[in-house]
Amino acid sequence: MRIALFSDIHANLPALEAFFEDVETRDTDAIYCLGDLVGYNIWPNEVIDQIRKRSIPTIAGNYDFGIGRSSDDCGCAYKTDDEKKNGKVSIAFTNEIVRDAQRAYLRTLPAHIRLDFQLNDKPLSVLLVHGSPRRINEYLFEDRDEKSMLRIMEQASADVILFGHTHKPYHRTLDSTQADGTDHFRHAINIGSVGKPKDGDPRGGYVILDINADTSISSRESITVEFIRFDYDVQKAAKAVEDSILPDAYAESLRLAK
Amino acid sequence: MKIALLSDIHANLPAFEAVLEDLEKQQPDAVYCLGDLIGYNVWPNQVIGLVRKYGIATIAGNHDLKVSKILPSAGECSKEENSEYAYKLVGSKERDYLLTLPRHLRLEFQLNDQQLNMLLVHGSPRSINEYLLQELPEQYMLELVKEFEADILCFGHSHKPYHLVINSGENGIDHFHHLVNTGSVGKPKDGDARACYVLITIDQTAGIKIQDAVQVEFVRVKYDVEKAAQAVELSLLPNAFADNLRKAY
Repeated sequence: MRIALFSDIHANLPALEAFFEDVETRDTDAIYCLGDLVGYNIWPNEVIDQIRKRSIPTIAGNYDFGIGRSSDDCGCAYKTDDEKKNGKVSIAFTNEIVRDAQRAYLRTLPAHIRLDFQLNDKPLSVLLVHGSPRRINEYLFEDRDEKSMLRIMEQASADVILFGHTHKPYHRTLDSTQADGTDHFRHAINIGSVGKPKDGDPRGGYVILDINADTSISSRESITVEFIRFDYDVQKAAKAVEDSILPDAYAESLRLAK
Repeated sequence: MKIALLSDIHANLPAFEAVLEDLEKQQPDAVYCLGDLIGYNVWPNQVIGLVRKYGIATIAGNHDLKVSKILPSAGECSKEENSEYAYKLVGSKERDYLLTLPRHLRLEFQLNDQQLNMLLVHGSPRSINEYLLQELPEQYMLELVKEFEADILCFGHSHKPYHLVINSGENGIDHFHHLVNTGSVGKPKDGDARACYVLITIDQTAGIKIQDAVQVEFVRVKYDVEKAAQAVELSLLPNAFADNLRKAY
């Protein structure tokens, strides 16, 4: 089956609308959203409404967790003083404009979704998280030490994990072959970001995961991950930031995808 | 959040369409389907088409897996009344879809610094074919929910809806578990011929210690039962299936 997974929309309505248009053309069987619906742009309510309207199974991101609890902390790892200052403006603004029903939705989102497959009488466990299985705001970058990545997946009993949070897409196949020589491959997949990419490509990004009848943990190539990029009106989203009290730096981030 | 659970549509397109229409009004935040999209009626491909169109997250039921063994006839068209006809109708793309559906789906909530696990299965967590009937001993259910770490266990398969709350707490500390049989959209067996599905509302206070923070509501939807029953009678499927629909047994 073909499963579309998208994440990190961050209140960017033009990007979300373009995503829906694109995914409709891709003949998928199911759609999941891995969180961070809000923050950094002016349309948090509209983004929540569009996702709810379609009844899309969604898990909470760290920004959703913060706003759901009316917290002034989004759990983001800001480095510089400027980033911290801008971050405060964004979360205060988001807390101010998010309405009660939309906040209640964010507040009650699940943290993880697990899909347990059984193909050819063998189990395959697919885990959807926002940051990592351990923490909603842990960043799993592509250069993470292989042993550490494998340990995280083993502890979570996951053969495939899909996550967002870093806004930098990748697919890494990890060799988890057992001591007795039994082949076991695991897959760590960062699905990128719909509304705030940070990999130098300003187009929106998402993933289609293909699981077929021959998919198995003992075969390295048996799942396919397609990284999709789609155009959207970046100028509209950037302009909306500039016309609001949000820091202009967020408009620049959208234009340059950094 | 409000979660809709549908199950056991059994190729009954009029019933499924009526439920989809009702869902438009209810506006749930998420919709899950607990399997058995096919069998017993003539619209398996149309039902699968709609489930895919709406992107409804679905797990496999025992009938869905039958297509791995029952293949369309290669030779002459069959003319005999036969319940296998329901599976022979399933298209090749639809077969691929059914045979790669996940078996279980687990939602892990962490709303109040405490894990609350909602497990969706077709029959029981142990077997896709097991009937978790309301009459089963409470001790059996307790062992089941503990073994599979399910605080809210949702299933279909028996076509008889119910909601049971059991408490596995010890030493005066409550630990409530909800058992929810979703009933059947397309082939109810509880004497009520209307389609059945479930709405589960998870409150922000939801945790294992508060029984009422998980609300379960059964929704019954009127649909054109005659249309579904006559479709059976006009097909090679046994006429008994039409009677089942009219009388919900």
